[in-house]
Amino acid sequence: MQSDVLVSVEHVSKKYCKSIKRSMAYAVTDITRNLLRMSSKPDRLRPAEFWAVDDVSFEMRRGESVGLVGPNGSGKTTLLQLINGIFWPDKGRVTVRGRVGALIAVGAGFHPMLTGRENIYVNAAILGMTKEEVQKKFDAIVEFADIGDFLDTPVKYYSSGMFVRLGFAVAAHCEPDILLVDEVLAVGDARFQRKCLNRLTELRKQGVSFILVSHNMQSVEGVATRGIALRQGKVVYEGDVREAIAKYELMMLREGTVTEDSSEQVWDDPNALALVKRYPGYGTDEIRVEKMHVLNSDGIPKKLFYSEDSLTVAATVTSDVSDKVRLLVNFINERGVICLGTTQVVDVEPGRWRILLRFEPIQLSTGRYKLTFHVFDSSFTNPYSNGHYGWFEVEKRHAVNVPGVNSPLCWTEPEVAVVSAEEEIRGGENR
Amino acid sequence: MSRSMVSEVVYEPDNCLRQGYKGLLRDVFRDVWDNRWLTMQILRRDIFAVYRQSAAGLLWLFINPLLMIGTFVILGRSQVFNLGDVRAPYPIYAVLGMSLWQLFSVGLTSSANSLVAAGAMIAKINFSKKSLVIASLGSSALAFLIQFAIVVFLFIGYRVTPTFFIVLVPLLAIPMAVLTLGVGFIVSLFNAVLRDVGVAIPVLIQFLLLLTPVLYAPRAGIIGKLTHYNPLYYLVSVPRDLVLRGHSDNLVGYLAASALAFIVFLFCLTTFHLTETRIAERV
Repeated sequence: MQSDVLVSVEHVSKKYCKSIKRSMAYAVTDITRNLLRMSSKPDRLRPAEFWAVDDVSFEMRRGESVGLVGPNGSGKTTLLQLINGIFWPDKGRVTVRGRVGALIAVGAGFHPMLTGRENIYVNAAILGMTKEEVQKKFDAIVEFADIGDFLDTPVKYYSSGMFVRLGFAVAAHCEPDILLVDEVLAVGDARFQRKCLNRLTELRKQGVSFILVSHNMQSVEGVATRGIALRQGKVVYEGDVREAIAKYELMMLREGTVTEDSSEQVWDDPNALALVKRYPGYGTDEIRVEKMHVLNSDGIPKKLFYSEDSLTVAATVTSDVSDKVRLLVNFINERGVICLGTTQVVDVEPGRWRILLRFEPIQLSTGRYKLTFHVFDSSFTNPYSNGHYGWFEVEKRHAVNVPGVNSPLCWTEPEVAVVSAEEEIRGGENR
Repeated sequence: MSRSMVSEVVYEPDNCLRQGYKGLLRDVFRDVWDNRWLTMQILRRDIFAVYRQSAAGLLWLFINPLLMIGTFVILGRSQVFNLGDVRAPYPIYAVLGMSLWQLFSVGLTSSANSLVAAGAMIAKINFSKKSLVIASLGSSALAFLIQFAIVVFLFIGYRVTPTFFIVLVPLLAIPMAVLTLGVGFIVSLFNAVLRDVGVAIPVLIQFLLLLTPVLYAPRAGIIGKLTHYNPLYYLVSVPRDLVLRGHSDNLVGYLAASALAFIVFLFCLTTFHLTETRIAERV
């Protein structure tokens, strides 16, 4: 193993058992076999067992930090536990050079009856600090935790925020070569979270390498230099952290269960977007949306776009009035966040029309989106029509580099046009 | 572990098999020694945490044995037990025996639960699980020392002069502590996998107390035969005989039981060392 490789994971697999009764029997068998100096034959699956981590390999060098991303149950935490030596792999080999620290389950070793002061000592000892280290860092830990005069109060009287702050403070002050971080960056209030991230940055400057597990892509990208995307225990991507996050977001998009407001399909046109939400009493219905499409640059309805693609919102409407109307069009992702929006004023005469709003490029990041299409009069007071239409998908490509809901390179006003609705929208391929 | 020292650790399937028997015991004891501060911290936590929210606090460590002595005084006065010749008031005889017995019974019960009680922590942080078991014996050792101190006051109260062996009692109790710790290692390991063990231990201890002449003098019959092969009996009665009479007819038994205790201890400690990692995935 080269000297600058801190962690080397070679074809590592780990199996788990789904059944507690079988698990007991297997444990007794394995322990007995080991004591008789026999192999427990770990590379074979017995009934009710499955591979939680399956043939994973990667290396982490000095100065690097690795972000592990993947859906729940993809083996991220198990991988951290294997690197930490909490249990042995069932196949392959894990080699670790240097001292390993764990920023995992902060406050796990706290005893509710003991004071903050006493718990600092106990917890630090469990985390592998020596007596001298704790004495040296005690003041820094207390200051970081910011628990004021609660230091000599039993921790069971702490607020949950104080509890995790103290836990984080202890764990963040052991000085390892490799720090394993599992979903603990979301502790405390926003101010403390910032403090935590600052502390991690500080540690990184001191030369500590991280292996980080988080579902918060922003913190993964902020801390990690390399990314590994896992799915069902297997590595699906290893390399650039942004690329790994993109893979994870795609997994979320493709494999997640979709929560729709309703699935009220108002048109039998499969190329059209469905009306997923509508406030029935809100609007005079003097202007009615008949159909909603999203079109690509060739005017063909699509349900999948890339960030750099042109996207045209095409609303087929029937109007009973002649008015200068104001359109409110927003793109909303699955979490209900408005990622992009515009208001545009167009002239509408009585008749059947197609209103086109061309976004070029669409600039959204990876995700599933619906759009709102609200029609008001020009003064925004009198609504004609409202509705949410969905869903379509966007995959991040080229233009967008920052993870998160949306971050366009530049905001562009859509081109707006009102054309006759007589020309039917050509049937496109669905996706 | 200092930062300048770059240690390389390799984890492989059946990791414990990679290590031969050579140097195994040295590794085990080094691990225990390196983690002595951790052990002390857990020990302190276990002792202080129990009595923190009680008005009497650590006084309970004295109240419990005093209540027990009260019971034995009453039992002694009412001649419940036919003691034979013990050459001492019954309370002294009983409390001295019980202090040694409880080193075993309380120690075993708490060590059986030591791993289970640590629970999720074991699966999240990598630390020496031996410290948990060793520390769990600490509170029973403390309780023993307190009971022993009370015995000294009983001698004064009854105006009985013990032999000089009384100063050696803490040393004479070591084989009992070693046996308890050894069995405790194995029991905690199995309790982590099979919770039946933790449930069975208190029942088993009750049963053993009835079979072992701790509160009564040994007698003939089936119990006598069992007593003959019961190492616990020698570990309790020989130190007591030495304190009360200055000699014991069972010194050979005591030495044999002590040797057995140390062998059990080494075997169990090594077993625990080799398999403690297997526990994390089962707790």
